[in-house]
Amino acid sequence: MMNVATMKSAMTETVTGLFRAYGSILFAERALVGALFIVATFWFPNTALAGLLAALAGMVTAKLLQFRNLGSGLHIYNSLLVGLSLGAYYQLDLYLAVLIVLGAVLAVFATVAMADVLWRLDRLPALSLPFVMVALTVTLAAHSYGTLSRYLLPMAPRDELFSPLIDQFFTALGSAFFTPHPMAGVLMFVGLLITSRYLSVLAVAGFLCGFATYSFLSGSPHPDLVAWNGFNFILVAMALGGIFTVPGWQSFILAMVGAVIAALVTAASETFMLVYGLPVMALPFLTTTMLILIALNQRPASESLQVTLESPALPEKSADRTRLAIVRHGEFGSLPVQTPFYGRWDIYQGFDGPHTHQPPWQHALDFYIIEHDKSYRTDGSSLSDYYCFGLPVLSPVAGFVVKTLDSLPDNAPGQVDMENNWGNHVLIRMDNGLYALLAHLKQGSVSVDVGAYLNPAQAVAECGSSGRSPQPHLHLHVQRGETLGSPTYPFHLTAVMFRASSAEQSQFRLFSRPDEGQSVMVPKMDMALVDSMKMSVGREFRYQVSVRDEKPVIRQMSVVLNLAGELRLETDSGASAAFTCQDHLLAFYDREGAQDAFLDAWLLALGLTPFTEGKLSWQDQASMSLMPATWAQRLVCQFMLPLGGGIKSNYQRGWSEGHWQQSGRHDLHLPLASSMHVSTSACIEPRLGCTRMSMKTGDATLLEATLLEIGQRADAGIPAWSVVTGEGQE
Amino acid sequence: MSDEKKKWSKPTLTPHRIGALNKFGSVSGGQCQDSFEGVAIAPLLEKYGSPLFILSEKRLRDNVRKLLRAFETRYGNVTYSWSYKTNYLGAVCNTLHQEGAWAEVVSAFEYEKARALGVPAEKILFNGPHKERAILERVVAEGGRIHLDNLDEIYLLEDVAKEADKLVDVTMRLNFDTGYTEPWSRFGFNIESGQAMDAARVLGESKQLNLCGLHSHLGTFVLDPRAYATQVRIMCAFMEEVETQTGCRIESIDIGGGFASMNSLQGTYLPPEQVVPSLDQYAEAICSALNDATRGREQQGKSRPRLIMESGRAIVDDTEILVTSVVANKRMPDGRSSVVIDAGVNLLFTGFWYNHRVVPTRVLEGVAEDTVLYGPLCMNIDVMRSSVMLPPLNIGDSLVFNQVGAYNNTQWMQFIEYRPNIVMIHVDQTVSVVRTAEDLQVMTAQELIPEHLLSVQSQQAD
Repeated sequence: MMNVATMKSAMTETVTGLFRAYGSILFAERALVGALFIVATFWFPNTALAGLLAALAGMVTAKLLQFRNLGSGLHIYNSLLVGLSLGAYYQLDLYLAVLIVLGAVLAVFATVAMADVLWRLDRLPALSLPFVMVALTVTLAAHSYGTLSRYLLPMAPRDELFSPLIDQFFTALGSAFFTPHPMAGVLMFVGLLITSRYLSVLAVAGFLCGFATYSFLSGSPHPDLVAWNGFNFILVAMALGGIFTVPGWQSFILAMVGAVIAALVTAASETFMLVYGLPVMALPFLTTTMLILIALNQRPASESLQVTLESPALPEKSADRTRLAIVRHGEFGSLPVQTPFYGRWDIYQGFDGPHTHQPPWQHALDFYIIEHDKSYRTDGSSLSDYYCFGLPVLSPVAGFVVKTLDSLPDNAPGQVDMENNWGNHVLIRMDNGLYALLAHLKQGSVSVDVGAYLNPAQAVAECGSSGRSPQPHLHLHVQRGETLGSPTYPFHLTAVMFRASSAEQSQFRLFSRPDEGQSVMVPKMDMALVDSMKMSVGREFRYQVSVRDEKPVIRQMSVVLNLAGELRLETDSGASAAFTCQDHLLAFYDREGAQDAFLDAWLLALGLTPFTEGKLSWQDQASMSLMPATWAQRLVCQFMLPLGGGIKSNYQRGWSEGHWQQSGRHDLHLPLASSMHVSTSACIEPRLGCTRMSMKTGDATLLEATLLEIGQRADAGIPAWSVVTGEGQE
Repeated sequence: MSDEKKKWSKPTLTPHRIGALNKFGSVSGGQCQDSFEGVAIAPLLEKYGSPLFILSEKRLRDNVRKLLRAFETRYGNVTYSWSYKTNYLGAVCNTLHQEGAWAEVVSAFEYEKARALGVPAEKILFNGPHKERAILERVVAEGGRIHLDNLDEIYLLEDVAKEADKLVDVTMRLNFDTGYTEPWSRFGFNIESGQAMDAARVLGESKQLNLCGLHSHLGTFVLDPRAYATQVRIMCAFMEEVETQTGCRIESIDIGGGFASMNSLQGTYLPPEQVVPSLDQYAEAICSALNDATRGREQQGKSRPRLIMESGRAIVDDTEILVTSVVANKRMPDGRSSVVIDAGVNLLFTGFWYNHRVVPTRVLEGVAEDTVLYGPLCMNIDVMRSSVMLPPLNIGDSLVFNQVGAYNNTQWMQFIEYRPNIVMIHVDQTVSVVRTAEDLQVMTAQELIPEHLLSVQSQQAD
């Protein structure tokens, strides 16, 4: 028997599913926005009721067929659209109701089938394609059913609301829900504003572009046509510029071009479809968007215009993801490789180096070792005087050895071998089809054979001075082909200790493309720190948290693993952030859920924590939404930086009196507005993790947290445990 | 022609001796050292008194960086641990800790000192044959790394760990014959006799102790890098065997210290420049042997062990000098010249085994002759150098003993004299005192005099 709780949750799932289905027509994720859209459709009750009926029919179908994830509403938004479209043309009565239910059921099947086929085809979204197919079928069928009675909507422009142009925009927006009335459009727009400011801008700009083209070519179009079909321009602009590409000026232009093309396709569709008495509906939107996306899928990896078909998201979110990815991993398309040596080496020549790193070999690094500005001891007359000569050379990547040579003699210092530029070398083919070349190796030192599979950091040879090498050094580049000296491909060193000059302190960098005179070192991991920051699945932390002068409360955080394979740190308020905990660092990203000052402060203090030994500093740029701010400040931030921005965070960590002290300075600079600053400090104790954490601005303490207890959630066959920490015992 | 008067120099007697010539010549004069690391010695002597130890922070940092560079560019997992007994002045230790060094201590005092300096317990290797229950309890509680020396220690530690209810990670100290050096068989467990494997089996059975490291120390002033290569091979072979036999996982291999410094051990025929290998040569021998011996480990899913070095002398020896002043001249009955200086074997304990390079702080006039340097102690053995070629010295002239950083500030003795100031020249050439000279109060601070002995007058009625 079903108990009350499960019924309640099933009820909640149905209602949120319904709301989300409405929301997803304009790419809104929040259920409340969907509810607002439902209200808006009731401007024409006939349409609205037809839509609701279809949605419910779709929901029942999906439920009976036990499709998963009903709360997302994704199975039924096409059913809903079928219902709305029928409700817009026919009077709602028993006959129509039967037709609507049939159409809704068909739409569920079409949605699930097409979503899968299109994804497999080219990672394409189904969008409202199932709706258009089903709606066309049902409308064509309806022609031959005499029982249906026509229903004519009172047309929008007759209710003058603002100016004709503005009215047309809102009407067009409303007609995305077959509610072509400016008042409904205004409500839709409010929902859109709540969802994403950037999408709203795209909607307006897209409509203007599409409308301008449409009117320019047709002289003066019939206002009804614009009212009914203008939403196509809006949807194309939103999909291309906001949802399926990373926002930026390139994607904005693409969106506008899309809107213009959509105007053309709309005019074309109208011409032949009206002959058969068929409404154009979302067909121009689908044709334009799908064609452009399929075409974009054929581009090679590039720095410009990133398509996000793998993980479409609201523009604010994908802009923030992209920003963080660039901050942490550097430019798009650059290949991360490991340092091909042990210890600290200096850069002899960097990318675009003046000596030999010229196109097409501009992406290359030369390494050697200097001590007090000299690369050799004594007088440097023999090769063995050079610090780097004979040192082990490691594979920077994983891959197969495809070419080796180690028979060439090493040149005496100052001499070069112009016949064999690359000298002795090892060429490694990576799984991604690119090749890594290590050159100028020592004669007779290559210890791997062609065909061998190499793991990163496996020793392959010794540093030498063969080929075009006036003094011992190691050349590394990534190239496109198997021929020695093929054009090079951009790469970078990842997870290194970088030092700009010997006078400066080393910095931990995930992206490093060092220049002449700088040096890099393989970071040494602090195993005790790795152990202390263990974030295994099911781990729970209880903190005593006091915000400003409020009474301290007990807060709980736990580590969960979701179905997507993402580890997330989740607090008892439901807010969470994803993280990756690798060999050399702990990094958080993708903060989601409710407002939670405690989690935000925790993320600011520990969001990027390298496990490197010793005193060190590093930088990060977490999302500006982590900054503690009042509502007013948040609004200013969102207004000044609509696509989000990063907090400039400078971190430092050292060991003192039995714990690691990790402190961060965080500055948020807003254009034209005063900037915000906070500082965080976290105390990490061996084997316990972060036991104390605080956030301050100036002298005022904003938040303080003290660890009370660490625990582990029970798993099948494994009992739970917890440990009360020092502070908790007192 | 200048009207200046010719400078007067002391007359010397140079007896003609047959057979005293050798192929290296006899002249060591002409050299002088009036500054150390760019700082003039004379003003320092004036300010801080004589004798005076002078340390160079820059040299310390350079040396440890050189050592780390040599090893870190040849092997992926290297840790350097500062051998406290070589020189445990707080300023020296912390300079090295700032460069990433761990601490290697061999007594309760050294452990406590390292902790007091702020070294985390996980970065302290607790070594040596003498560890008592009380200090073991503290080390176990704090998580320090214990190196076991003998079976009795295993049983004691097992008991301590049981009481603390902890699984304690331990390292075994081994001894064996490399064929290059005299084996130091008094420390640790012997491999050849099977004692080491027996002890490893005991550890394998233990519920409290987890064997995770191996340690051995060849000796001191080891001049042949091949000795270390052999040491590493023997240790790695033992590692594989002990892992197979007891199921433990060895995470670190500690090769101890013993790298030679640019000093001359008495009885060594050639000068140090010719016999002392560079750190790169030691590193090459050790790391290639280690890379070879651990090649297969990654395929077996085991990580390569951490290489730990505890080099002391090679890091600190040339970073400190001892400046001393001439107190008196004396002609010996056999005609040799001798001088009494204000620093003796009380301060320069290593003077017994090493011929520290001695140079005056000014250019000395006159002919160099065979001179004996006597210390200030009222003991016949207080000879700082039994034979050195020096021109005649005046009272108040000062001499520099080079390469005195190793073992002197730890093995010096308090015998009839106050120990002098130790100053450190920092990287920016400023100077600060890192240990002040002793005075009467320091010398008597620990004394307690029973009440009836407080007075020098007899308290009893006759």
